[in-house]
Amino acid sequence: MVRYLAVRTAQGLLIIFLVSLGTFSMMHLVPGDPVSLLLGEGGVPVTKEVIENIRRHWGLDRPWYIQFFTWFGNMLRGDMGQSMVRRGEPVGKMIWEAAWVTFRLNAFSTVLAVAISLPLGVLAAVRRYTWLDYFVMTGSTLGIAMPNFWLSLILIILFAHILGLLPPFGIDSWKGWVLPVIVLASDQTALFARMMRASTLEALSQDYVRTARAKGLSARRVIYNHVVRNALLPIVTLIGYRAAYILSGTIVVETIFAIPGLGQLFTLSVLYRDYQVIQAIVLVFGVLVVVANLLTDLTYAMVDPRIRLVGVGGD
Amino acid sequence: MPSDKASVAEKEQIRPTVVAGETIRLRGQSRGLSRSIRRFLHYKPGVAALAFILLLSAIALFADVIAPYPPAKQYLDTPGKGPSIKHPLGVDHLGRDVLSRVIYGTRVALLVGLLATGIAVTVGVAIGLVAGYFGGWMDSLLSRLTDAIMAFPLLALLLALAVLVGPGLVTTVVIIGLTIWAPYARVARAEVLSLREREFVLAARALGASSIRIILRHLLPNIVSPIIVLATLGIGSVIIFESALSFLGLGVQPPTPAWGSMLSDSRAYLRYYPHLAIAPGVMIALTVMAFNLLGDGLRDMLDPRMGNER
Repeated sequence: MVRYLAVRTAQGLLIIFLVSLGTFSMMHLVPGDPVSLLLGEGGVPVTKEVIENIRRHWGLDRPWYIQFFTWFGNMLRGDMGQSMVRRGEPVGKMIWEAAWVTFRLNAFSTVLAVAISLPLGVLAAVRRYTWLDYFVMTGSTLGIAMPNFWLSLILIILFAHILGLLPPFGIDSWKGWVLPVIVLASDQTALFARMMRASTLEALSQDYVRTARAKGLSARRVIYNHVVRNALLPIVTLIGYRAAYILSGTIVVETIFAIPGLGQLFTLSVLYRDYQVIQAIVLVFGVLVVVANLLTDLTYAMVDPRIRLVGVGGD
Repeated sequence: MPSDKASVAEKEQIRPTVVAGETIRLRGQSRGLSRSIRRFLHYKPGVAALAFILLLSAIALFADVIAPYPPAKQYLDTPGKGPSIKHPLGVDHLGRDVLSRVIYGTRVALLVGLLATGIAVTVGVAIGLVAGYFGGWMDSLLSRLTDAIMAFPLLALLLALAVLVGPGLVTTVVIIGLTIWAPYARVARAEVLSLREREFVLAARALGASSIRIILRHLLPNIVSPIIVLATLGIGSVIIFESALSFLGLGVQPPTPAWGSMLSDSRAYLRYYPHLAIAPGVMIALTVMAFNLLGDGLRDMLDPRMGNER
């Protein structure tokens, strides 16, 4: 277990390093000088010296690999630097404020998705080939295929413009959270329900279920104690691994509903070429994904001893 | 190629496949294909999906003939007007015929979906083959690279790349293709790892075949099935990525009609012209669903052992 943990942690650190290096080189090797962006195209005459000074101030005159290691070192010490574009605002502050919004948004929607999808998935599996099963499967097929930005637009038309119940954007009151949370929950619900159904079916066909039934346990107890417990494992894993998708999902939804979270911060920073902010967000997400995957694998390894034995060699 | 047949037969001998409880198949090479097709036809949603995709392809090919109006022509007297006999899906905020734009939008969706997936499959399979076949430090390096790409929030990466390279149709295809190869690399590597020590590969090596030859002639043909299934399922998500990029204004650029950018345009007029937000979204959802169902059907057909989770 200790060795497994060590190997996985080392691999995780390597991945974080690669992701940061990738982002850094991507932002720096492609044309587009942040200094000219910073000064704008206002036609104000700027001497070469001024530009050189700005470059020196931000360390842009040094070779890119030195810039990278300086930045990476600062990051490891928790210093995220200042935004170049937004007049020296501390990046750390911007990110944590936005991250809190995004965290709540995703936490609400994941809880909602789990609360709806798990019972539905189990029911669909237990009542296989009934109208309920077909309803769940059709719904989840649709939910997966429907892009969340379209769902957002439809919900805005329906609940904000036609019914006038909820605001079309903004999170000034709790009402503003309803639509974005529903949108983010929808495709997760579809995915989880489908997975839960599949893994319940798998569990139902196992020998221990037959044994439990043969012992004379009631159908309810067999489902609760034997089937659902075992069927939950893959779902836990899936939720853990989905950490990587959080930013992708939240970018579009935050843009549509004008929510000041990480997704919106990222999109704006990309448009402004705010290197510091982009790199910091990517690094934060890299760490988040690696930690989430590691925790997921560890949970799995603790619950299921078979994984521990195989886990060390491969992935 | 005798070696591949041998391997398939061997697989089937080890794990006889029960098809719908009716037969147990042990060898049956000659009847394999027709059996697979029958298995595919058995899954009705997959057949419907295939029909829909063929229809879409026809629409994309013959958009010039089918579309009632040129997609960029403005009918200035009626901007934002709802459905009418002259314009079945209405006209948009600039007075352009929505139906024609939806029809032309099929081109972008299919083009990006197929080309970007093609790039991703090529890159991913190449990386997976090399990593799995050579192993050692090459495998470690490539696998960690794959993990790193998987750890990256994809849409974020796409946005950054689109801004840096400059958005457009070609950019969209290339950047999507170059960022979604990781799953193909993983699957290809895993398959190769299980094939690498098999007799037919050892035999080829013993006969002095070069690594390149072994990879291309002996390993590649044996990993085609799972890759085809994965790629079909992947086209749907590429189409969603493309429309999300276009929706955010960083994908296909105007005046080229794309479903995502049509939805993006509709955003500002949701209150007054809600009909603009319907048709493109329906088309995206139907197309994505069609590729997903087709993928499910192909999985039943090509690899019945993976099937039952549906």
